[in-house]
Amino acid sequence: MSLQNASRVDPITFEVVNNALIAVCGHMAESLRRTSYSPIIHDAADFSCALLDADANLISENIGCPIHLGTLPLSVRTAVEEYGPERLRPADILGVNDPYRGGVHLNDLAFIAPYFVDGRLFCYVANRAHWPDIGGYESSGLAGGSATELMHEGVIVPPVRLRSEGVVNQDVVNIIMANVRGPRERRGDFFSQVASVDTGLVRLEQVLQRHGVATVEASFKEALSYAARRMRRAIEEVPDGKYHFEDRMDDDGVAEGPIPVHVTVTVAGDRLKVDYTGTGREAKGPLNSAYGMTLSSTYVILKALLDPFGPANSGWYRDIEIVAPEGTLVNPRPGAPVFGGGVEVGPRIADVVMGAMAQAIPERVIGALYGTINSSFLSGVDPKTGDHYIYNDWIPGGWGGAIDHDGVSCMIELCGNTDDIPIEIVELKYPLRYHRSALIPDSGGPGKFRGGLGTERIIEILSEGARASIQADRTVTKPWGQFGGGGGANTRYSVVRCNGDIDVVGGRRPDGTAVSAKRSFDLRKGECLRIEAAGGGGYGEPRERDRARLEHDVQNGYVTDEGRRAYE
Amino acid sequence: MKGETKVPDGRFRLGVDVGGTFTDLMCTSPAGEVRIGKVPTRVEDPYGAICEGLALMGLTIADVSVIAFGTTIATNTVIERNGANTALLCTDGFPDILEHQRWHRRHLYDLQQTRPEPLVPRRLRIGVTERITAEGDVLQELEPSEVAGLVGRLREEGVDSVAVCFLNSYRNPHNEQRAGAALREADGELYVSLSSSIAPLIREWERTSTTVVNAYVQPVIDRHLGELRRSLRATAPDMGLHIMQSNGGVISVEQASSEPVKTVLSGPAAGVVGAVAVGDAVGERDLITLDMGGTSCDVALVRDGSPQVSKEGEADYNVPITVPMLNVKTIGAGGGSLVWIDSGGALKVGPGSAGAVPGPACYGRGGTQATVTDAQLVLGRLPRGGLLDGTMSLDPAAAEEALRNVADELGLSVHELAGGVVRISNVLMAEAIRMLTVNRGLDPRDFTLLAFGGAGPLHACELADELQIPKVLIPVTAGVLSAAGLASAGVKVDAVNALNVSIDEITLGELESEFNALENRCHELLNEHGIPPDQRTIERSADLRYRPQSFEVTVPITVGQTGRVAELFTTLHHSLYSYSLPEEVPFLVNVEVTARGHQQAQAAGRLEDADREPVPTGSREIFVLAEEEWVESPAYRRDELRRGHRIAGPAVVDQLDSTVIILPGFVGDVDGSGTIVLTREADAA
Repeated sequence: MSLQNASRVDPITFEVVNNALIAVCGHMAESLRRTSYSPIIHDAADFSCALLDADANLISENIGCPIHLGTLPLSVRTAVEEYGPERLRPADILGVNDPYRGGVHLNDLAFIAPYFVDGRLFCYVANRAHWPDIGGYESSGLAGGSATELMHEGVIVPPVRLRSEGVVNQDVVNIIMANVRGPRERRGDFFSQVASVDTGLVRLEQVLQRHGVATVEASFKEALSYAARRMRRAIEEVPDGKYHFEDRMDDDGVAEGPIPVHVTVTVAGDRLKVDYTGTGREAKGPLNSAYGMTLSSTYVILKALLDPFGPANSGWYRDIEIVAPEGTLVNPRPGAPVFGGGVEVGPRIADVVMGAMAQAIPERVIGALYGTINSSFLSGVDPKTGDHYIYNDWIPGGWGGAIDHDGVSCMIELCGNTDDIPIEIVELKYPLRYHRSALIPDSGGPGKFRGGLGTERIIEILSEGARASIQADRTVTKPWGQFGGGGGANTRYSVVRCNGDIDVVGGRRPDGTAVSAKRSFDLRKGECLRIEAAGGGGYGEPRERDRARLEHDVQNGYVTDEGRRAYE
Repeated sequence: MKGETKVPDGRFRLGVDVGGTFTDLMCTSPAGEVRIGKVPTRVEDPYGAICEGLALMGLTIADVSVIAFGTTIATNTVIERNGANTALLCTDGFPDILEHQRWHRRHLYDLQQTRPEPLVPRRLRIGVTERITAEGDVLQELEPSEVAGLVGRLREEGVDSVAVCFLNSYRNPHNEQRAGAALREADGELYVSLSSSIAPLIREWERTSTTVVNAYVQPVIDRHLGELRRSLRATAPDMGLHIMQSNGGVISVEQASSEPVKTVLSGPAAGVVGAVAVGDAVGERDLITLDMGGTSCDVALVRDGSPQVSKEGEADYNVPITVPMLNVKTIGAGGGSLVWIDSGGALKVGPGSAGAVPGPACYGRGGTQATVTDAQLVLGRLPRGGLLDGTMSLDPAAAEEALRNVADELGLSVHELAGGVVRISNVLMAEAIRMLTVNRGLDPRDFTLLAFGGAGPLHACELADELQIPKVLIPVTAGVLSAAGLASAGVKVDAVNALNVSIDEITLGELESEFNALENRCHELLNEHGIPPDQRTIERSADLRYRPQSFEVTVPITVGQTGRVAELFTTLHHSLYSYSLPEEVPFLVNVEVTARGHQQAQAAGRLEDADREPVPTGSREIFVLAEEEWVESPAYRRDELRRGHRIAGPAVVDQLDSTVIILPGFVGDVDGSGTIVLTREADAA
């Protein structure tokens, strides 16, 4: 093997420079997290920072949200093409959030800064962070159960200059701020994203001074081909064949469900093709996965299955072909609402690709993950301050069991990598009080190695006039098991009324009928929102489970005496 | 032995650093005499190890007035999961805080990842009826009988330590205190740790974890220190015994036994304290310290003689501890870090390590994979005669062979690869240092690099070039600097209170009385150490943020500046993050007081003046990366250097536990304290 021929940079210099480039993104992330205003950014870390070359190839990233990263290159490419690269100047920042221009959902605003060397556009640093509100007719941008157009979901930011040669473009900022709820907090997040971009520019400059422009440029190229080499090698290890799988979304919140998601994965040598033909039509409600989002979701699961520890840059998916017919759930026409595209359809894309690949690489798959991000947003007016508040949370569930270990409980879906917002921070910042946050016994799918457990949360509303927006899935279909393993428990949302009555507002009612978990509704002071997040699927036959493990589960309340029967 | 080595003027202070394998000892006398020893660690018999070490140094226990003791036992107890059978009492409805952890994944794309088991199994995480609100009001008062009723079950389960952590107890300890009293009353033998006294800070997972770590290690530490205390009482009843904390100060055995979580990161902290003492002797008070050992590398920052303190630490992966600790960043880049090629053909160094066994290939203990140490040997930087004064031989052929396996695959020569391995490990360390400096608005060029540990002095000059640092210090005790830090550490106690108010919601009078209350608590602790009032330093600080932010900035408050805290915060925020929002009212999260007892000054200057030029004991060729060429370099012995000696690079200085590389362009001046001060020839006076 001769690596020197692949590029003009030797392997040592490459490793040295590549480490420095990854560190640039780490520095950006540290800055963003420490200064941002919204818990969803600083505690939940729903953001990503990246460095891209002049052709908008992703070169390096921080350990951020996987779904952001596959889409950032598209956002940068589209934004720059549309805005005109010749109009960009040093210290400019472009902003964009349009999902049909490579974005995720409108809340995720990308900040893109070009970097020039001797007047030549050399590369970009960019970050993308989730704003708790972006306008639209429900707080938080999630108009579950009602949005039928992208415009219902919030303000669309086409590629615009947020900063021109170092001066913040106040007119644009004013328009954005006039269209979002909680502009004071949004303003803090805005400056935090600017500070993070500037940190990236400064650190990048130091890397260039230290190693020289030519070496860094050669390292960009080598980073991409290195990743591509790794991915091709990983694909070669997968047996050739055509693998199918189908699963479904419960519903889109507006029209009746279910909506099928179908995949055919074809492996031939070092080539891999993913074809979504057979997937249901574009959704009426806010559940569409825009094309860029579908690419990103596919990359995430393929990387997890094939080369999880390799570099994450545009190179590793260079040779993967993806087919997503236009007008379907996975490639809607511009203007269709998208809030759940990445966070609901994304997990299902991961499920079907993993389901298909289970036939080829059984030792590398796990039981289905809990399969939804469980967006659970509460908003209203804080009686203490009179300010509008928005509390965004995602409720994590269980991951699937694996070939040699149980699934992890209470971990966020593969598509995201957010943290929880501590209960004490929630109670300090919002008129809310937790009554429960605990694992749900028996919610992990039984198996030789069982699925991780789902979690239950009960949150009391302490002020009048609150509103909930929820979007969740897996309320009727279960996260399935692999190779004989059972499914995890379903998702369910309920409201505990002041008189103690419990009304199911998303998922199966006690009588077996189901109600959509994609909707918005009012909550009164003293009422509680109760969320039960799904568990993961099991792996292998439950009766093969080691008896000592089963006893341990029962003693510690992960499995009840009744649940034990699934293992007999 | 004692008869031969009378201690002339006053007795010694003894620093004892108990590591996993070796126990390092260092004695200093008021006259500035220093003695060093190294003995195998004896976990069950620390007293025996101390006596053995003293004998090696020609001393007995009677020659010592004070022992400062640092130990990794708390850390190892957590990492090896062999602590006490511990239970957790929590607010009913919240039994899984330890298991939820933070959701964040360590590996973004790894489907096969698992999480560490919590230190307390689920059946012993017991909810009790109680509730405090976010404002600190008692919504539901705890009923002591409910807690007392649990004790039988705890006994059946063999529990001997209980952690208590209720929601919002950082605002109001009432219910936790009632629970603690009920437990102690029902069973006086139980160890009880309350979160409201161990770490009264917001964020339930971090606080619960901290309290649980305390409970988990407490019986182990208590036994260990109790054993030492008893042995000393029999032989040296008036001996002072101090325990190192993670914050860089020492406390009494009693305090350490009641809050052992504060000692968890004491090892790296002791090294930083030792570094500060070395810097002080040379007059350098802004330091980047670099401790490079076999498996990892610790870096830390010292500004104006004070190491940076943080409350964001981890005892193990996903086991956070939020007590004050010196901000030491650890990365997987040590002498034993492995050299490998990944599936895409990229050259990697670490984070995996060959450890002590089998160790680097050149150690000849069965290691076949190349390491950083093998690369250094091939580049001529290590003594041909072996390490530890030749008692540990090195096998260059084995090192070459291990490197050749990798080099062939990359199409490089062995020497090109070796140079590359050293460069890559330097970059990993440089990035860790940039994270501590550049990212905090600081310029590494304003600092002096202090390199220690077995491997630190090998990399020091190259790292200084990488970061453009003008000056490097290599302490004479480079291999036992933690023990030196222990010998020089003073008493340091701290007290913190969570306020969580807007700065305009608290009057200056109220703020003063908050600080005064904390100061009184610190004074009480210093009284226990018998430190006279005029021998104390009291420092105030406050953690602030803009209200919606989540990470605080710690603002030091000097005398008379308490009223200006908002202004100080705004300035600091700007210098850290390059922006501030002066129209926003800052939010005051915590107030904190740190109190120190003054350390009796150690006489500096123990090296004799040089009366002639230093004489090399030999020479060897070393490979210089920047020039890509071999350079013949004179080799000196560290213990033959005298004050005033000047050595121009290229040169090497060999010492018992380390090797100093002086690259061309650098000159080393030997200071009276024995420290080698490296500067660039162009800058040297």
